[in-house]
Amino acid sequence: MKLSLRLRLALTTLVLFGLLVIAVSALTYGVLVQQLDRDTADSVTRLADGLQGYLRLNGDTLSLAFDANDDDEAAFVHEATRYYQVFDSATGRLLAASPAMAPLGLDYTPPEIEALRTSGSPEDVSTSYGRLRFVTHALTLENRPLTLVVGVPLTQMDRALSRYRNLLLLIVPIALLITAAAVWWISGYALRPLSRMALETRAIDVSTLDRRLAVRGAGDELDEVASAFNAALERLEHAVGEMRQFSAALAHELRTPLAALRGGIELGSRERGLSEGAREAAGSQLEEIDRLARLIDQILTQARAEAGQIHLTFAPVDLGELACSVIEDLESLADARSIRLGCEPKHGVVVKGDAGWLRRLLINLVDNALKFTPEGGRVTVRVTTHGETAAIDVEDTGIGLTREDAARVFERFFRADPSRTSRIEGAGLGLSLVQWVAAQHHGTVSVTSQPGAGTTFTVILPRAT
Amino acid sequence: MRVLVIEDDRKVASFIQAGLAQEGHAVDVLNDGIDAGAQALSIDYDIVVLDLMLPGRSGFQVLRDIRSRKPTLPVIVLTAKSSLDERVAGLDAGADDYMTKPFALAELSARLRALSRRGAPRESVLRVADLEVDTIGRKVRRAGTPIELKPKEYALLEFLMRNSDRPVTKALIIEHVWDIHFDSVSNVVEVHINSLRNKIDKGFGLPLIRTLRGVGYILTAEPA
Repeated sequence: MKLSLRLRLALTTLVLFGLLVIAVSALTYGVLVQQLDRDTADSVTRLADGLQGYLRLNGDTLSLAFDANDDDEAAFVHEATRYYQVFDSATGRLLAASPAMAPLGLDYTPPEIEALRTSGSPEDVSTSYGRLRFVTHALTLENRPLTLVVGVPLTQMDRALSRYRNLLLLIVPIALLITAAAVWWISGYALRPLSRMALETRAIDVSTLDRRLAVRGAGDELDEVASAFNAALERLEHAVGEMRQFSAALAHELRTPLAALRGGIELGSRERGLSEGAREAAGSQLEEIDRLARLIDQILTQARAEAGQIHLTFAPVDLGELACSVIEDLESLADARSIRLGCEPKHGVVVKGDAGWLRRLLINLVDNALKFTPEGGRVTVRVTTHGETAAIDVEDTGIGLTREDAARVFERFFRADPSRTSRIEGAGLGLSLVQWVAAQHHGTVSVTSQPGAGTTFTVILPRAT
Repeated sequence: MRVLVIEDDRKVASFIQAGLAQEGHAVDVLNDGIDAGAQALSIDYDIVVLDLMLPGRSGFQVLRDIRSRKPTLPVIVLTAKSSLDERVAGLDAGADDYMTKPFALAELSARLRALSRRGAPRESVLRVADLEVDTIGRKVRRAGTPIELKPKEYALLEFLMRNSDRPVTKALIIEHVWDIHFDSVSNVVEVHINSLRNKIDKGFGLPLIRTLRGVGYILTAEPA
């Protein structure tokens, strides 16, 4: 599964931020618990320590001695005796207890009291009234060992902690949601120029190498990417320009030595007393030179076309008339191979175009169709209109193209699978020129094909208004 | 005819000279453009063959020099460029004809011939052996039998008849019978020659249209 950069950014941030928030929450909660726990422990120890001083034993009766007029003292004793018990350590007998203790059911057996006395550590007890913390102190009054148990309720602490927990449970998801939304929006905002750059880049091809990506002037990383890409385009444009100039110069420079070669062979072949074999050989060499010259011509035309050095002259052209006149000119080619060549024009279909180049486009398409159609087949040129556009279909009943070949048929020097087309001549430049001519007329050319059944090339041109 | 050839590539120039000399022309050769204009004007040439890419002085300048003083002297321009624009530019500058390298010597002779005959009255009935073409009524007969030809076949035959006994190249045929865009269609000339042969040669004693491999075709009654 492939996730977009934006989604990945948002998810990563969310996970990291979530972990951080959870860690911070856990830490603060832990510190709070520890703090409250220590406060409670201190307070219960203080109560137990203080209460010892007010205890008096008279026989088996335990009483509290304090100045009831002293508000502080009275308040302290009141607080300390809210939950307290005093046991006779030797017998385990309960000597005194606050009334609140009875419903809690905290009745200790003597061994338990002994254990309490020696452990000395606070003990938390859960009751149906909430949690309580008890400390146990051993003391001696009137030479009798006693055990004092003093407790404080933990309800307040527990309530505070639970409120804090609830707060966290509410706040953390909200914070995460807000974070996710913010990251989603920010990354979208930050990445939007990238999508735009991708769109602009996709629109650049070999004929529009002079285009550049927009640099926003923000001086940020995205501007840097755009500048770097523009620099690469610059180098590419330069290289392609050089290449085109080179192919033009090359074609040009090849012609003069070819002329010398051809002149020499032609003169030689005129010699008297030449054997028939030598004359044949010379003739074949001359044909090869002419073939080479034609190829150079085509390459030169293609190079000039691609370098934007060919300028078309536009005037109204009747496509139906043009198509039928081309068909007339090529009829004999079709007759020679028993191919039925038909023209189905729609009248009055006018485009603004260069008649010469449109003628060449049609000749190339029909010539191509004838080449790939076996004897007895059919080639039909059809001119139709669809709203604002005109269409020329060149349909044949030829050998057809495989899907792979159809996708590459307009590439320069492309030849279909040689095992199927070995007898057919051509450099593979005709259709690429067709595409160029169509593009110069703001039109398109496309191909549909059924291997073994035939091929249709369709040229779509805007109609003249 | 006296011909001036202005061509900087010495090999090409010498082959042109030899080829034209074989056909009985007197040929002078210059290898640069510096004195070309002066020589073309001072000597009474019948025709000038001019390369456009010259050291010293460009072919276009030489052409202008010649045209300013001798507006009717026929000039055939040679060039290593072939595009339509350049062809038009050459003809606009005052050239009478235009050839791209590499070219057939036979084609150069044919063009020289055509230029030297320019303005001469054209025959209305052409004859080679028992083949007769009436160019006004566009009627063709061989041994008295009328022959039906399609328009392109007729144009091809008339062109061959007007150049009878001389080789003509495919390039010349295309130029005169079709239009410039047919140079990309490989076998259009062969196909028409073939159908023409079927109509005017098949079933008659002497075949008149012959193929010259690597050069083109010739219509002649001379035996091979």
